[in-house]
Amino acid sequence: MRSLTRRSLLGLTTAAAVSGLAACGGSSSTPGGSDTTYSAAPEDLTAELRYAIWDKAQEPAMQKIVDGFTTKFPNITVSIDVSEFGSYWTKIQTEASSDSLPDVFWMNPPNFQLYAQNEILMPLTSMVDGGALAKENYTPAVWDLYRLDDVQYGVPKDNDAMAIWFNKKLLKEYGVDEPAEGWTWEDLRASAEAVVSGSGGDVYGFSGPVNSAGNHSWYNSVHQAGGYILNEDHTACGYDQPGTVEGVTFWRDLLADGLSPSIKQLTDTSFDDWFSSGKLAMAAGGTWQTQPFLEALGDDLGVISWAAGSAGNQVCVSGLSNVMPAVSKNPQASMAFLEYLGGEEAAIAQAESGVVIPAFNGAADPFYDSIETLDLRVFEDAIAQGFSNPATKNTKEWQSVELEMLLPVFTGEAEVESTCEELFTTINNLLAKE
Amino acid sequence: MSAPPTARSSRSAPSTDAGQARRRSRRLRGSPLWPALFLAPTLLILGVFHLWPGVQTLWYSFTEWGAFGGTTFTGIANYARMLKDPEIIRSFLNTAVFTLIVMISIPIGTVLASMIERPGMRFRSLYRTLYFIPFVTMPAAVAIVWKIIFNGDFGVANWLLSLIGISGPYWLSTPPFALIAVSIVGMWSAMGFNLILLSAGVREIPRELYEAAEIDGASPLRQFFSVTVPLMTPSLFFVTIITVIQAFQQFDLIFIMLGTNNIALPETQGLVFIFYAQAFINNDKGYAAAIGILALVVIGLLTMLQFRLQKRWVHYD
Repeated sequence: MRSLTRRSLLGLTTAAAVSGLAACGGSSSTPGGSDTTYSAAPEDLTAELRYAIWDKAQEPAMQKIVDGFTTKFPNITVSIDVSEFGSYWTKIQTEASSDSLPDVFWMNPPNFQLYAQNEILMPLTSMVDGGALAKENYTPAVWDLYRLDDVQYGVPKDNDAMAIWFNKKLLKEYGVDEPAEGWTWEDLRASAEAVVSGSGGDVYGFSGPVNSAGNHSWYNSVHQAGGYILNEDHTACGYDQPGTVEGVTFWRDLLADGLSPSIKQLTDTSFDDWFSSGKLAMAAGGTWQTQPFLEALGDDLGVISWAAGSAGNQVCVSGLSNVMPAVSKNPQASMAFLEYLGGEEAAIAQAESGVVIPAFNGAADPFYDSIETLDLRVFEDAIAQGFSNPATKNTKEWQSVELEMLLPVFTGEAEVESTCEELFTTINNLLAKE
Repeated sequence: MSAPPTARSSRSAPSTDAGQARRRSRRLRGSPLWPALFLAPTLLILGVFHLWPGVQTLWYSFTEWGAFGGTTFTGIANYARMLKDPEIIRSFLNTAVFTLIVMISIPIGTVLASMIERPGMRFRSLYRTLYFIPFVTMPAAVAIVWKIIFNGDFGVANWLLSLIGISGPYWLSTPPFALIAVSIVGMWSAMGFNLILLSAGVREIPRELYEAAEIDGASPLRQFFSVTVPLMTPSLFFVTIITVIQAFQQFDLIFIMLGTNNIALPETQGLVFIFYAQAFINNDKGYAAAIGILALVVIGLLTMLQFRLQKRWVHYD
């Protein structure tokens, strides 16, 4: 069944490649080869491309990049297709099942292996060989996130890193000093306690997306306490490690002591809404929140590296990439667009938008300097020292079990130790099945 | 109507061509092809968008799906799994509670309908419109507004409760309350449609019956129970069937008001929500298809049961 699918996929790829190349008076293709071969696109190449993304906040920057690209290739049009994050993946998965994927689309680490192993994505080997895609241009962590069995599938787009956002005005109001570099979990807790007691419980001290995203919340504290979620080769989980237990306990205590809104409150009103509306003094967040938080708090917004636990203050570093489908209607134009998306011009356009940090080396300065009142350089340090986002073939499956079992811990209905023991067995069983 | 034969024969020089054409057209008119032709567009749409996907779903329910399509026949494995799945059993209970609460809209709707349709009622169309608006509003928009109303910390619901000294729960994340909150919204949205159908039922009742009842000395309350309700039973029967079917298919309210990471979900989600989660979150489309078939069978059985029971309480003229 599988080999049949693979063969028909290859057939389609080749057919598409041949017709695509024939249309532009083309060069050679590799019939029966494992991917469509890259060749520099002629300026008069004609194509209509669809580019699918999930972040509305990045649309202007993406449009700017598209404009730059279509100036170089006047006969190519690119339409940007923005979906909300959840429905984006439903849509992509459905389109992948019916060979109607967009020409170029965003990929994230949790989904990458699933798509690459099922041969949905175009291997970019020929772009690398043809010099259109060079490893040394990008943050190594992001480059490696989109490799499978030594084949590159994604063009690194940006870097995500975590930090702690704080509301200067709230801290001042309750007589709490602004956090300083080198601060620790104890300092963080003390500041949070001071805010809660100072406000009589009206304002919460510190919170994060602990009810929805581990990599934005407890994964960080787990590593900061010397634990880990997945081992080096991603074959076993680390829920038996004392550091992992400590990292989970850190959040459980914050919630139990009322320093953060409870899980129920966070379900009703997300942590970023609590923070934006001035009801939360400090929030665990990431690079992508720079603009929304700045809009909400203006000059009162501050940012600082994560507080250090017993093993440091490293955070989860991740990044998106641009990919194209293995079955492509416009392979040459899509590769040309991928090449442009991976280049310096596109990186600078992203950095200048102040929305994300480009994965292209040395192009991030405009981002770090994009906001005078904020020291966005904290993200530069975070990227340099971070650990990469844990991902396996079926990340979604074990992560949904993980969240389901940890939520009762965070609401106080379950014990940390016994739940972590249970998670250790459950996740390892799931990983063994992948 | 075709011309009578006498008229034709009286005409001078009927050409044989014309006669043949007329005969042909009569033959065509009597042909069974015509009804089929007029039904074709509807049948085509039904076939392509309802029947064929239905048949496919039945087939998929006996298969297992790969991440990106590619099915393997697994026999009744999905159905066997369903019988042992505590989530499915629990979802029946949730759906039953939801349906019962939504059905409260029927008695309320009946009272409202008979009040609105009372002779001499002013602003009748205004009331009808007001009650009908929820039905024509996008469910997603409705769900978002109610989500804000039920917000535990900043919602209007808890603010109102606080005025009478009750500190309200976190409606959308505390188990029994989440289901109640969603059901209340379901009831509110079903009200408008039911009210329109029931109003039509009330209007069909002959006024003389009320006059006769009044002469016999029946109070308005007595009139309601002895005239209005019995004569509305056909409408009530129809409304009940529609309401049960729609309540069983409830998905969007739960999806938007609770989201997919909610701790109250196990005690709130209905059958169709589990169908969605299996198909599009866990990507287990074969199992999801089996759940879809189960929902179809259950709704079918419930509707059949109602048709059986109607003999005992529905009065036709």
